[in-house]
Amino acid sequence: MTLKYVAIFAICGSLAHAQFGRGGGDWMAAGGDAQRTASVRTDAHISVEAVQGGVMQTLWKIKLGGVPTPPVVASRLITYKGFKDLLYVATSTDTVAAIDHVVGKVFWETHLPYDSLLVPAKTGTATCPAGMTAALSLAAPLTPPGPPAPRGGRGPGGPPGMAGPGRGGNMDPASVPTLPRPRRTPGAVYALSSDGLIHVLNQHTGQDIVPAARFIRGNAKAHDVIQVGNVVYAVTSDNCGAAPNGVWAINLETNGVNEWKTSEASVIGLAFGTDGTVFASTTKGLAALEAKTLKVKAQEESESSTPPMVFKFKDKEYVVAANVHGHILVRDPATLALVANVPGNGAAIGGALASWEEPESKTRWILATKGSSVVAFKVVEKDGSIALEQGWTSKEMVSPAAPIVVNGVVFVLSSGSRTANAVLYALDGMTGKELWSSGKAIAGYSTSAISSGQSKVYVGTHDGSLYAFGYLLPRE
Amino acid sequence: MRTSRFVIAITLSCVACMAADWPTDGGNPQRTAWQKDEKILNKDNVKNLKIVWKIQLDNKPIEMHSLFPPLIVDKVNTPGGPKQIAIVAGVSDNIYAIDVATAKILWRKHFEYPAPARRGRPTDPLCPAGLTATPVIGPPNANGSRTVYAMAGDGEVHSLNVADGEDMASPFQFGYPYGKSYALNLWDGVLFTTTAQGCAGNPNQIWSVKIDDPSHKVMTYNPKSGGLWGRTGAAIDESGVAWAPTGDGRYDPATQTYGNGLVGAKVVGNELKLQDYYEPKNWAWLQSRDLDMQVTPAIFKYKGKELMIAASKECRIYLLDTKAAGGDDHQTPLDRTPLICNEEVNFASAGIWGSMASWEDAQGTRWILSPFWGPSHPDFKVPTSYGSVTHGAVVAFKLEEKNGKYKLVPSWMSRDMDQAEPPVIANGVVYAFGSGENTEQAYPDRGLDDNSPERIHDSTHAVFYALDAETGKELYSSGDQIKSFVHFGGLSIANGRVYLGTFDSILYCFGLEGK
Repeated sequence: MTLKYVAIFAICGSLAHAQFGRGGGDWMAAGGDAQRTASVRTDAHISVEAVQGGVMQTLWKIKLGGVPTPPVVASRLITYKGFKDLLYVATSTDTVAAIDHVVGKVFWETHLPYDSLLVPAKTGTATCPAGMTAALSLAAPLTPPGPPAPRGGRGPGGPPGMAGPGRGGNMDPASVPTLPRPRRTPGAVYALSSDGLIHVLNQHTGQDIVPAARFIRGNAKAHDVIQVGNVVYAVTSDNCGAAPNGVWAINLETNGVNEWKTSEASVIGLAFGTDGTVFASTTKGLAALEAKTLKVKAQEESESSTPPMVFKFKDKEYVVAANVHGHILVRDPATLALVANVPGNGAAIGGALASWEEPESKTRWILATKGSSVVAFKVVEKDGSIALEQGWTSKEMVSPAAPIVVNGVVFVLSSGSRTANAVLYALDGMTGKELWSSGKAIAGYSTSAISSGQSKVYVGTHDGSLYAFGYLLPRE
Repeated sequence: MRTSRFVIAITLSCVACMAADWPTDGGNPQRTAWQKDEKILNKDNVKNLKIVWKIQLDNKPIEMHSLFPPLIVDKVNTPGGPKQIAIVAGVSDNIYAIDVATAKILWRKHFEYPAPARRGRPTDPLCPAGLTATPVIGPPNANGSRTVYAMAGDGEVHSLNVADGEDMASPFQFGYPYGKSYALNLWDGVLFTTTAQGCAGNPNQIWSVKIDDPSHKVMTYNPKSGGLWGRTGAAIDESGVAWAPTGDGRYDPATQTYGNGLVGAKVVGNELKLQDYYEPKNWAWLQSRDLDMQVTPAIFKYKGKELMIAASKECRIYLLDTKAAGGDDHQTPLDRTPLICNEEVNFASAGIWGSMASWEDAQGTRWILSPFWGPSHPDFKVPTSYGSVTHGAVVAFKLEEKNGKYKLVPSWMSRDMDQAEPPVIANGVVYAFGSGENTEQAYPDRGLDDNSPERIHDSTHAVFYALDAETGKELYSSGDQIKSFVHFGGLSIANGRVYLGTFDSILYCFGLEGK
């Protein structure tokens, strides 16, 4: 297969996602989208009212060969085995699996061969775990898309008006959302294997679409893999595997690699402005980098503790990250000038931030994991600029993972410990009120982030299990 | 004079009554596919079936389509004397009349028309540019003549004399040019068809027209769904309601939207109006996985009630009352089978496709037959079967009723057939065939890529079977005698002959030597 073909493949995938993307309830990469908002703006079945009404169910649990990365999710794929909704996970053992998340069964599984000629395999340590460390990515659009257009099966379907509200028998038609247009061609799953190669896998089969390309050094502690505009980005930290800390970009058309090395500073994560600017937070600061080339556009020093996140408030974009002192720092994306600074109270902010906009009031919320709780801030206008106003604070949890938001519902995982099982909570995004919890459904504890897609929330646990909670369309 | 004409008409009608005809796709307007008048073939002698003749027709296949199921009329008065005639339509706008006794073409008609403004995408198997509706033959007129109604690719209906192919009336516009109409049905002077796939911009709906209406007003009912692509079009019940399955779409009765269901519409005055409908409770699941309800139902009487069976690609069968399909909420069938096949939940190469069939044995047992594609479902249990089914089969149920409760009871499942197509039944024998057609529409490397050239290349050949209708045991197989595959073709049976047309435009006639 030629590079031209892979470019077309990638662009097709990108277009497909751009058309539906998270408006259709998909999850493209770590943090959900290119801005890393960790939010799904609309969902067919999850809402505050629906969760109060009991929509959240324990759907399935599947055992994988290692601790799963947070799944990425693609829906309405026309595969050679029928219409499928698939999620993709990787494990530390260089295994990538596609799971039919409607039935909780493995659709395909592939092991990425470790190329020991490139770099000898290493045994992991607490700091440098070796193995596959980064979550997978689908092609992520720079701009979050709108809600999906109505569509039935494959055919031309009926005339306009198919999607009107209504009443009915056993299943209220008004409660059944219109379907996003199905994806006719297979997109790609981007997987960074532990030997440092980037794999472009067919979403329907798991097979390499093109030969894997050398991207970063093997045994690196890589994360935040994301494909944007036919370039795959990743970051490295803790100088693991002799891979320098930095931000990395590989052009999928040429396999040319660019990097921005950060010396001793570990890179915590990255996010994209809608103009393509790459924001990278490190243990020493925050940088704005040019897309593809990774040339520095702006830089400041603030000892970040979270990946950056880009959000929009009243048509203006901002970039935000927390620092090791518990401050939340909002910056102008062009200059990285400080716009708002929310002082901490000593409690560390970890994990990743999340953000969502309440559609009626247009209230913009920012969520942070602070100590043992999740804290919600409202973005408000103040003195011609913006400020963060503290809203609600969740109850205390055991090592809460980074929150995510699905259609106004905040999901937080109390990660648990060796003596406490993990518990997934659903909170009202406006008030923080607990709406639902998974109770004792999860056995053991979790060490990874959660993700969502197609009315489900996914939790991976230390014993290699993946759980799905949420809504399933009745099959009977 | 008037009395003598009446006597002649009655006499001709009686002669016609004595003959076994197959005047429409599925054998009758109810689409039961049951030939009640077969006297020659039986379960004792079908083991001796052979190809008594085959004829190469000059029809050019288009997008996998070629010959549609033949229509059979016996004792037609032709210039050469009374003949049994097979009327065969070809997708390239051809109608052939074949003398069954000699395998000679009696007449041939080719419809010419200016190319329509729109047509389906070349290589798209879904929208062939040509004649797609199996014609229908009307009852004898006062002179005993029979008219075959055939819709050309431009949507015009031609009324041809079965005896000589001459126009019995001026053509009239009924369908949509290159709009992919399905098999015509005829009931009480009204022609029906259905359309699907939106070919050439055609709406998906039920169509009807009164043959004797001088204006030939076209009456339609649109369920706002995906295509109505039951293979044999609509089935007509005793009240004149035309029942047609609907393809993927939403169910919303408030807006008269009936996707993934079954709708019944009737001509009232000069309009075709919805009378009733059925929607599976899991319609949204069917829609989400492209598991359309797309099988022409079969309608039959049972213990004084008129019932109907329908199915979908999901691969289960629904039993419905034509007077209240789905009960008060339109979603509660009299019975519903478990999944028979399609464990994989595939939209292609699995599930029930085509049309249903039903017959009643001498003991009054009502039998329900369905073809299906792909492997049988591992959880589906049937008392009698004949080895592993991986490519498709015919499955038979007995209908039972106790205290007003109806039950479809599995009885037998046939041997494996390569894409089993709708069967026909006659005199205790089920005739079935595996089409040999490649039905794949999506591929691992490309996703959805439904294209005729590849499917034609990867198709094999059809195999024709005769089965004991009470046990499903194989009584006859054509083996590799048929050289090509079948797409949208079908079986017809009358007077000891079974017919099947293949992609290469060969019409096969199976029968017994000397009969």
